[in-house]
Amino acid sequence: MTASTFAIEVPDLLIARARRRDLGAFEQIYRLFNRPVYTLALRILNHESEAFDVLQDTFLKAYEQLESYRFDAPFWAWLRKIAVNAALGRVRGRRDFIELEAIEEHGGDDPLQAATSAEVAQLLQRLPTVSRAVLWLYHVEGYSHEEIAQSFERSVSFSKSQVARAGAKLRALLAEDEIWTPAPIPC
Amino acid sequence: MDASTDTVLSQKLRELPQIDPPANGWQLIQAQVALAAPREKRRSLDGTAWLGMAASAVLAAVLLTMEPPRPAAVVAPGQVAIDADVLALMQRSQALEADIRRASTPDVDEFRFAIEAAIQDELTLVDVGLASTAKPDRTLWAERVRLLEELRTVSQTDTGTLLMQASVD
Repeated sequence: MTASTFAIEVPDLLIARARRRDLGAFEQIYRLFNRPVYTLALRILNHESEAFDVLQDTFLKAYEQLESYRFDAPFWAWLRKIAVNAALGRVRGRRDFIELEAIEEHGGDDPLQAATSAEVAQLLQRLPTVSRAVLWLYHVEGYSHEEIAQSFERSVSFSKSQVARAGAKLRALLAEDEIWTPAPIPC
Repeated sequence: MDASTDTVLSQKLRELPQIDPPANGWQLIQAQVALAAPREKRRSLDGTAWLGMAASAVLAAVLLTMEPPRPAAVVAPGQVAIDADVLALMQRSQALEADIRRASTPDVDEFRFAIEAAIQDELTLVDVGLASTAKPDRTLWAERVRLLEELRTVSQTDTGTLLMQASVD
């Protein structure tokens, strides 16, 4: 399985400088991680302005809490946790906890095999926010069902069912050939 | 489809490209960090921090009081001839520096300090470029004037308005 896009090694010396409030060092950290943070937020929230807010919140919180980073885990994982919490905080704020119903899947060729990135990006936007977030954390960031359950304060079965149903929904939408034209968003 | 082994979906989602955030992301974070800095400095201000601030202040003072690179020499007999538009830029540059000196106050808040320091850094680069060219470079002088105009605007704008502009840009 490919590593998370956050999986960027950061020299301890750079982190140490940033902890001493060296803004130049912190800017280097920002330059390393601004795309993964913004991409995660935008894919989950599907809203550019909110994603930009998450980017700001993430780095401001990281700057404030740098002294609490203990070097006993990868820095990227520590930063990703802050970003995921910031994004999920906004998911919870939306209060649109629509959960997908189970969808019966048919056999045959997997329609996703031939789907382009643009199509997948558009389909992703059509999922309910929570399902999209669960799907992204599981498949892209490699979160376990236990970690997702903890992040959402729900059960493991909630995570499993959302991952399964969101995947089925994406395929159903693709099979219906109803590629919707969304608001402009980079794919 | 078994979700736990849905490698096709994993692969498709992972293939989606990363997206660049708006370009002013760092500037906004820098400004907010600068605003938060006074609180932190009150908690623990060590000698190194003072040294850095003092060095920046000295640099700023030097930049604002120094003569623009070679403006006088270029009009002297036997020196390099200067185009009229470059001469106009030099004079404009001197006038702007005078304006900025008049508008400068000893009490500068952290946010304003950060913005002015960023502009002054760019001015330093332009001045290095000007100092290294034998003939006055029109583009560099135009850039110097632009940066000084920016610096003057900042010096004449209240912090609240600057903050609003930073959040809109």
